[in-house]
Amino acid sequence: MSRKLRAAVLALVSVALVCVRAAQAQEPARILPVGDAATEFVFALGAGDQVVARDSTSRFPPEVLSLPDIGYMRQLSPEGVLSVTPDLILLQAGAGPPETLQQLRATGLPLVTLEGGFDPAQVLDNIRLIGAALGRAPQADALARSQQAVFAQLADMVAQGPHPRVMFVLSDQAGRLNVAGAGTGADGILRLAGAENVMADAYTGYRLVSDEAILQAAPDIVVMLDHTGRPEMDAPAADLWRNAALAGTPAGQRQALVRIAPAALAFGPRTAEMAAHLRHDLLAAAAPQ
Amino acid sequence: MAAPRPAGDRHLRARLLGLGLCATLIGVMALSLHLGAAGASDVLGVLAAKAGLGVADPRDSLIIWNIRLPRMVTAALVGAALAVSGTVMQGLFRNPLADPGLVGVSAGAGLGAVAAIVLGGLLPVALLGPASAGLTPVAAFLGGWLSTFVLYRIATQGGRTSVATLLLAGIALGALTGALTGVLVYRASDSQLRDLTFWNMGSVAGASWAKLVVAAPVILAGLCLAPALARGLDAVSLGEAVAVHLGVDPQRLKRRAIVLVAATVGASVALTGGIGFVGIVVPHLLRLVQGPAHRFLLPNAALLGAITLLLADCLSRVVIAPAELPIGIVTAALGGPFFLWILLRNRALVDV
Repeated sequence: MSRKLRAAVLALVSVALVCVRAAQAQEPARILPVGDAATEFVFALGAGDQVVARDSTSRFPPEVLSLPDIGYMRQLSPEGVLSVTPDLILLQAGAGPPETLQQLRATGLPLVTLEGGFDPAQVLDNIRLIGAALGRAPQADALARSQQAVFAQLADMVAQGPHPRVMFVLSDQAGRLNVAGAGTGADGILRLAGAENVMADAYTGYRLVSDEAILQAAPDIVVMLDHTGRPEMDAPAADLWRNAALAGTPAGQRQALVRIAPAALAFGPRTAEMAAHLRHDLLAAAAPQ
Repeated sequence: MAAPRPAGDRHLRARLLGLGLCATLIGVMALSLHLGAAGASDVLGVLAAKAGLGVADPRDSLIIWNIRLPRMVTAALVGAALAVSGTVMQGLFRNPLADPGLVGVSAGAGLGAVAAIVLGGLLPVALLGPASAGLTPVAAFLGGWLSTFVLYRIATQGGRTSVATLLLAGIALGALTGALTGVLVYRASDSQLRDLTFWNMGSVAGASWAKLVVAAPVILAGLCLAPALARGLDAVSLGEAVAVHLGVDPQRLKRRAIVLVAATVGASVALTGGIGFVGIVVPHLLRLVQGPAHRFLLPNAALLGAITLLLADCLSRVVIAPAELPIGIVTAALGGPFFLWILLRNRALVDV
């Protein structure tokens, strides 16, 4: 090898090394995402191997289940968080309590807080926010653009109709239904899937409703969560239709039930895909049998 | 029933027990500072640095000085306050099952906290500013005080407080506070409901010097004043008529005891939320070991209460680390079976 070539190779290698160093300096090595959507975003941006722990709401992708669990996202303890020595904490809206966040801020650790909200704009904003925090802005941009395309495609499909009238049932507590009103993740995903949430005008948040309210709302389809892998949490459909009021609605007469994954309420990177999937299931359930 | 021992023997026993409890408390405090999810080994170094000797690693300093130490002080103070208040209530009502909840302080504090969590968002944030974080504890404290005061007014007629009226009115007011709490819970959003649930389970994880500066003087004052009630409580245990002959004014005693319990428990609940069972178990346990003399019972209850809550806190940090169990779960889960075991073993002794 000639001297010149050697020098050039050396120069190239050192430039490459400097680049790698610079990239490393920008990218936090130990990420702690708090909240299911935050965790999914970090993995979707390809930084999954830098995640050092999870909170109890983060159950996807499956590999996070083997990470240490720092507890429920609304009830974090400062020492539990510090013990996994993160150098970046991504907080989903609702993470807390405020005292813990205050103490974590006092350590000088960078805390990035995602905005809450259940619409496509929020998903895209959060992707870019996390991308910037992780030093992965180009990847975030690409992901945001592909997501935006899927959302747009979905919106076109939805615009053609139909718009099935849906009631989202969070739980069935001994015959009393806890349903989703406006301002919930469930309402957001129903909207994206082109469904009309029959409870959105009546309530904000999740509420136990009376039998008469169910009859009056007269949904065509009922949507419930599908706790994949935790069958004990799936309220059996038979119990649901035993509810006299629900049995009197169009949904009850046809026993039209659609299940969605719990992650659909989180508004993470799989939201568009899940909404499209839900739309497909809703149309199938709405078709006359 | 076991043969009664001479009083001198019992007093010696109580003093020795007190010394043992002091030593244990120091040990448990050291354990509480040492134990934790995050690695910070240099406890003494941090304390020395705070005293102006040398420098400590800033991370260690933060974990030990800002997280573990206020937490340790909070657990010790609240444990002592709950146990002493339980002792005072049991003595006053001459009932081993009495606890601070009887005079309505817990239910009232609960209502105050729920109101702050659910309705706090309606207040203009600009008005509260940084104080908004302290809204729940302050509301809990006021709620506890207010309901205790109302109950006391109801039960007092012509300067005489009837214990029976106090208990019955307590049940009625408990139902009313429960109903109001229910209305607020129904109005609460999903996330507020989760906050409420966790508040009710109690936790010392949110401890800070800022909170302690406000609440600790109240609790400390209560703990320091409690021994002054000892003679009166002993006299009342023989019946109110006898107490009067012994030169104790039962009305004054009731008034002071209730104010003391409302203040210390109100401040404790404001610091940590609802923590059950310490107020019942600790005095009971001590009475079995050292007899009923309040002169020894009150200080030992403070020590054992502090030890109990510190140990519960240590457990709550370790069991599912790096996550934490709410401490109220630990005290109830351990206190319940332990209490039953004591009862079954000493059935004859507690047969009243």
